[in-house]
Amino acid sequence: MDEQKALSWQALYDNMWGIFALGIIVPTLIYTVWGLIEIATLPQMDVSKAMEALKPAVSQQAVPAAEAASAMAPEAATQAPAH
Amino acid sequence: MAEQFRTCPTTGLKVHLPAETLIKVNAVAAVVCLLVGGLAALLILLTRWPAIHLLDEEWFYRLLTAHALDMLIAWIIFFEVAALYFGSTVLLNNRLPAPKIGWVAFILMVVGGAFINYTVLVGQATVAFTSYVPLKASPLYYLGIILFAVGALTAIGHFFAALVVAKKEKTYEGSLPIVTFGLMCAATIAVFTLLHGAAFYIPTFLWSAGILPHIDPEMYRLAFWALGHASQQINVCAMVAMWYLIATLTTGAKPLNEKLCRTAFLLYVLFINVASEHHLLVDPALSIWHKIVNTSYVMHLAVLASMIHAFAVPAMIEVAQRKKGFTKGLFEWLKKAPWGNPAFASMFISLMGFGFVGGITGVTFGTEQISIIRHNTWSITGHFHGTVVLGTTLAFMGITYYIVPLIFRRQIFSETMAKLSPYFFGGGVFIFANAMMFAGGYGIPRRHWDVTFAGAQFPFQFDPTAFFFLALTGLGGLLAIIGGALYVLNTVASVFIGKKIQ
Amino acid sequence: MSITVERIWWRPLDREEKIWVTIALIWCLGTFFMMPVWHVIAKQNTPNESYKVSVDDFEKIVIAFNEKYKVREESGVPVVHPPAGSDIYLAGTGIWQWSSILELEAGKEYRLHISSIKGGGDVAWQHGFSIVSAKFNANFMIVPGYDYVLKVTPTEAGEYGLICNEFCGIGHHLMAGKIIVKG
Repeated sequence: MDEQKALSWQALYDNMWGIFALGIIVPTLIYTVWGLIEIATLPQMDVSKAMEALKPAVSQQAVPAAEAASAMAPEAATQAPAH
Repeated sequence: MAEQFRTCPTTGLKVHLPAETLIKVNAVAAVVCLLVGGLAALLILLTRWPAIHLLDEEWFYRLLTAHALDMLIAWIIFFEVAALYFGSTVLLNNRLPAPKIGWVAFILMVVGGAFINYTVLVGQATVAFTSYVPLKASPLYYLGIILFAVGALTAIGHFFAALVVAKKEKTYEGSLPIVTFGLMCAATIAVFTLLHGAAFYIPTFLWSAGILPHIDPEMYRLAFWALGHASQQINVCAMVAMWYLIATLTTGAKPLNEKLCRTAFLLYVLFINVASEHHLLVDPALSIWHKIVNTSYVMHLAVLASMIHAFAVPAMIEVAQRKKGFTKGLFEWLKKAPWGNPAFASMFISLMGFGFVGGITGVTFGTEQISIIRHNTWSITGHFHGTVVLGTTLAFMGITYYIVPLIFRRQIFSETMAKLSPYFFGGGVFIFANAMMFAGGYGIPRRHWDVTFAGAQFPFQFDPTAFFFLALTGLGGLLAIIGGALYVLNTVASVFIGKKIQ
Repeated sequence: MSITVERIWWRPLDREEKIWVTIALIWCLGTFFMMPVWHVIAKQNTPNESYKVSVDDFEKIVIAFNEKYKVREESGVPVVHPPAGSDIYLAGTGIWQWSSILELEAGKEYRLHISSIKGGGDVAWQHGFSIVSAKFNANFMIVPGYDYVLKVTPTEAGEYGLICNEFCGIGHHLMAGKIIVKG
């Protein structure tokens, strides 16, 4: 192999700062920056659509608001610690 | 102001005395942390062994936190700092440009480590190694980690400065020797790691102090693992550098093709850090492509690097052994290798253990489908004990048997303890890590105080076979701890009461 | 011990080295190639659908869901039987419990949303959603502020354990629930 060519390749491998720069920049772009962008641009959940689908069935909609509210309360109680 | 050097009688290398002192104090600090982490390991082991279940839940989770930090961060990074000083001065006949900076770095790391251990042991930081927000520790805990990281970064900067000085003052000819080159790659990976650590530990510290209102948990996870797993990649790189060093010291071997080995190290530098994604494979928010590109170490190129080293190191040993005359048959070179030399035994077991136990499981667990069945089970814990303990820790233990006579200039206190330790430790961790992986296959979770779920709202029973593996983990772990204790006792005894070498 | 590297170390690989690198490279590219391919052809992959949602909003949804489809209680925890093909909601709570016991039907697909809520506690922790049984184990992350949508089709009837495998505080090891699949 041509000695000059070998020496220039070796010089590349001897380039401490070049290796350092690539070692910081490359994984930061591929993993960190790309990942942060994905997390930051994640869409919001459509909460009202979800709640709409969970409304009580039509026949129960005649139930007065007070009763509907008390139907929520026992749920909170079952969430409370039993132990 | 004349620089103080001594000439090593064994190797003929020039040893810068201030550098040598720094190597010593960092190595001592490393072994102290290994001891603390090892005691915690014993107590944790005896708790997860259901028949014994030693600690209560409060102390279990505290010591689990302490064990991880003292081992994954403190023991290993103190040792790596010692190795960096060694690689940039002794191996290059070079001086450390600013020893005072080295001491500042050391003090920062010691103080940081003290803050961490204190807050964890008094129960102000029972957050596990990952401290996933919104779990919150006392601000002093995060401050401790930040100080440790700043200290480590200072030492790393000093390492690079020493390399610049060596080049300028022409203390060596041509390219850096492969061991220093490998350590330089490890140092580069370490800067990536610690900069990311600062990027999230500083805001988290401010949040714990009530200054910042909120930390996004998914961004925290992404950033944490850029510290958490990347720090293990420093260890891989440093471990491989130690393999080359030990291979040379024990058999006179030289790398067969420097181009091949250095290219492998470069592949590590470029691509190994992105494997942090392994922890995020079953996370929301990140896309399939982000997961695939990163968990594959970018087309498995960093895996190629490991496969190159796994070939190159045994190959160079084989060539050196054959030159010595061990040419009978296919394997005389291996059978007649210096297995009685604790450094060689440690290095070879480390290589086999890292590759077959730790490395392969890491690459396979780091795929979507296997992550689904393995994430957060004890299989993961088995994997990383295969890499960090059977791999890196054992390699570091191996080189200690040269650091003690060459740097501390003391004879090894007990040759018997030295000969037995790598086999007890390596064998023990081999059993322990594999048993954990089998237990995880039954769904046994990691970081869990009671897998019998006594006291839970609903009873739950694992397949009873899992409990066989929990007991086997206990046995393997005890064997490993005996091996580790042999190493610590022998090393401490050698340094303090070993016969002085003139 | 000589440390100095040869002046010219850049030279071609020997035959054995070339063979090994070729095998290793093909192996690595092959295993990489299988990752996207398996994602397309395999039947169980990490889900790719998630949203941001506030902890309080998800809790509102979970409460409404539990209320609408509750069929009975077990040890104070609502057993919930939602219709096939619907969006169903399960949360890990700040008091180290699962928000309900889901009762699903084998062979039917559901859109299972998982996230973290306070549920009576002060904080919504990160949890590990871990289904464990003799024949099946699956694990996903529960992160407060994020709705992770798993498209689930139970295949076999039975009772599946549901435990937490992400450290979430002192009650972590008490978090055990279940998912029931009816034939």
